[in-house]
This record gives sequence, C-alpha cells and structure tokens, in this order.
Amino acid sequence: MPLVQREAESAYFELYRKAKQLHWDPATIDLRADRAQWPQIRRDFAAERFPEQILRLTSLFYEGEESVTKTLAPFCSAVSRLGLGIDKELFLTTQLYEEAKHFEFFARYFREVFDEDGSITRQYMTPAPQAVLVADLEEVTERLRREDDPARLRATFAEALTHYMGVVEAMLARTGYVGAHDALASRGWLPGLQEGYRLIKRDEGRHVSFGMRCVAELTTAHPELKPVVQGVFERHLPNVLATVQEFDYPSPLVDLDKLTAYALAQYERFAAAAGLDGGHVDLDALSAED
Amino acid sequence: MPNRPFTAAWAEAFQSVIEADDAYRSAAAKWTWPVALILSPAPELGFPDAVAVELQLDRGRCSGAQVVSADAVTAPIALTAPYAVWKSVVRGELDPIVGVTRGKIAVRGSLATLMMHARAATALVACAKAVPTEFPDEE
Repeated sequence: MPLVQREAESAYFELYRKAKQLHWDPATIDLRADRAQWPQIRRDFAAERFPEQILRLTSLFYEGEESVTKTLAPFCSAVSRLGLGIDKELFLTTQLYEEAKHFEFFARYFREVFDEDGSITRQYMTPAPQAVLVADLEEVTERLRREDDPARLRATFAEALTHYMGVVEAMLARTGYVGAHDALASRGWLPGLQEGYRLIKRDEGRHVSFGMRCVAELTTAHPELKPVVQGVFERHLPNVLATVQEFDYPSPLVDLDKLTAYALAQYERFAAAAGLDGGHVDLDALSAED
Repeated sequence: MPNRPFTAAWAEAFQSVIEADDAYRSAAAKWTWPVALILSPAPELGFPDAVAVELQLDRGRCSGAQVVSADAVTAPIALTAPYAVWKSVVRGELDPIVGVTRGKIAVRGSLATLMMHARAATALVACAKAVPTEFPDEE
C-alpha cells in the first residue's frame, strides 16, 4: 500500500514523526539515587504511609502499562480492515513500541529499586482498577480482534478507542503521572521515577491525541457512534473516580481534588472531541500535547 | 426574607436567582435536562421523608422549581445527599462536583452528562448561595 501525499502530511503522520524524534530508552534512566532514597523513605515516612502510597501508584502503572501493551495490537488490525489509512497504522506501531517501553520501565523499577519482581502489584488491583485497566479492556479489544462485520467493527473500534485512549490513557494514566510526578518532585524524592513519569506522560499525550482525533473523525462521519462513546464513559467514570479515591489516605501523597479535576478535564476534552457536548468539533484544534 | 431549604418558598427564590444569574446562563448554555436535588430524610430537622427540589432547566434558563417527594421525581438526573452535605453546598463550602467525586453526593442518571457539564452544575449551586436561607439546625 503506497503512502500517499495526504497521509504523509496528516496529523497522524506528524504524531508518528514526533514519536521517532522523541525516542528514549528506559534502560538508560539513572536509578542510583532512587535506590539510595527508597529505604530512607520506607523508614522515615512509614507513619504517613507514603511508601505504601508510592507502591500503590506504581503498581497501578505497572499493571496498566502491561495491560495496554497486551491489548493494542488489535487496533492496528482494525485500522487496516476498516481502511482508515496507513498513516494511522504507522503511528500505532510507535505506540505499541512505547507501551512496551513503559512496561519495561516499571518492571525494571520494581526489580532494581523496590527489590520486587512485580508480583506484589496484584495486591493493589481492587475491583475498580481491575475492571477499567485490565478486564474490560481485554474484553473490548478481544471483540475488536474478532469482529468482521464492517459496521460493527467501526462501532467496536470507537468503543475500544474511547476505553483505551479516553479512559485508561487520558483519564487515568496521564492524570496519575501528573499527580505522581508533582508529589515526588515537591519532596525531591525518587528522581529516576520522576523522569520516567515525565517521559511516559509525554508519550501518552501523543496516544491521547491520536485517540481523540480518531474518535472525532468517526463520530463526525457516523454520529450514530456518539452513544457508543458515551456508553464507555458512563460505564467507567465510576471506576475512574473509585480508583482515584483509593489514594484518599489520612496523609495523602497526592492532591486528590487536583487529581480528580485533572481527570475530569481530560474526560471533558475527549468527550467534546467526540461531540458529546453538542458543540462543533474542530479537528484542527486537536493538537498533540507535550 | 430567608426560608428553610427544600420548601416551596425557598425553591421559588432559588428559581428567581437562577433566572437572574448571567454566569449560570453562560455556563449552562448547553445544559438541557431537568435536575432534582434530593434531601435524605432528616426527621430531627423537620424532614421526616426524603424531599426534592426539581428544577426545570434548559439552556441557562429555569422555567420552574417544584418541591416534590423523592418518590415523585421525574428529572433524568437526580443528586441525593444528607442535610449537612447540602448545607455545605448551599453555603459554597463544597463544590457539588467534588461532592460527587468524593461520594458525598449520590448521582442517579447520566454521570457522564453531569461531568461533561461540570461548570453548569457548579454555577447552578453557586446560585443557591445567593438564596436567603434559614438553616433549621441554626434556629
């Protein structure tokens, strides 16, 4: 399939180009300071339960990144089967590579800083994050993989995009990375983890931009898909809010209200891109976030 | 003259404030659904049963505000909270969206729609702050 001029100049191709320019390697992030600080944090802030909160946060990222790495492949196939353009497929290859890097980063962090193999992350997977990050994402992407009927495939693609990029990446991941980075940076803690959060958040910005643009195009061309998008948010907003509330500790590490407001702002942007607010969707305004 | 909350006179005053509020009109330009604010039973304060103020809202306007029993609510979106929470909201001490996200206010209906129009919800209860209110626990 040729890469036509229109695709080579598209916003999706620009996202692909940015992904290539902004390459980073999780294996090269310096974790020496983190290894030195972590035992001190565990000892000095046990009463505030800060170590537990850091472990909980990082566990959700670990589980979430593993899940999105495993569930992205059906998107590439669906784009191809729907004939949506090679530019979108090119971008998704970078996203798949980046999700794998994010998972690698957390696997390395658990091993080298927390001195854990990653299995302890399961204890923090309560019903809300398990549903939204893992179980329901697996379910919708499995349907995406199997669907043959073009109309149903398009609807399933809109549903899966909303779940993956709108709920998991925009509302949970980007929100979590902002909150976690701020919480650690304000205390001067774990600079390697901060750097990982910063780089991953930057990648997620491109992924969310991709999802928003795709959903905007789909719902503009097929307004009957708007209820599909809304249905995903109806189902998972309570799970998102419940997941955020799990960080409501007596001495919270993160600013919970700020975090919730950020998550809802992300939702508002994604839902507006899908035309759920009744307003006009300006595709040109859906630029990539840094 | 101040009125007790969740009474007909208070609801009428609430409607007047909403109708006169330019900030609400702007924030709620895309809000097209009636809303019910439901007070959980508080017999010690004179509310033996759950009671609701149902607001007929459409694109920044409020064409009606009726007090009805909670069972008679027909609005597609209903927010339910105990007295202390509503008092905090009416006084402007608690943002209603924060109340929802923290689980202090229960939502019946489309949470996605409510969150999409969070600014409209906040502007609506900001109007309540301007309603002269006589809180029964302070009498």
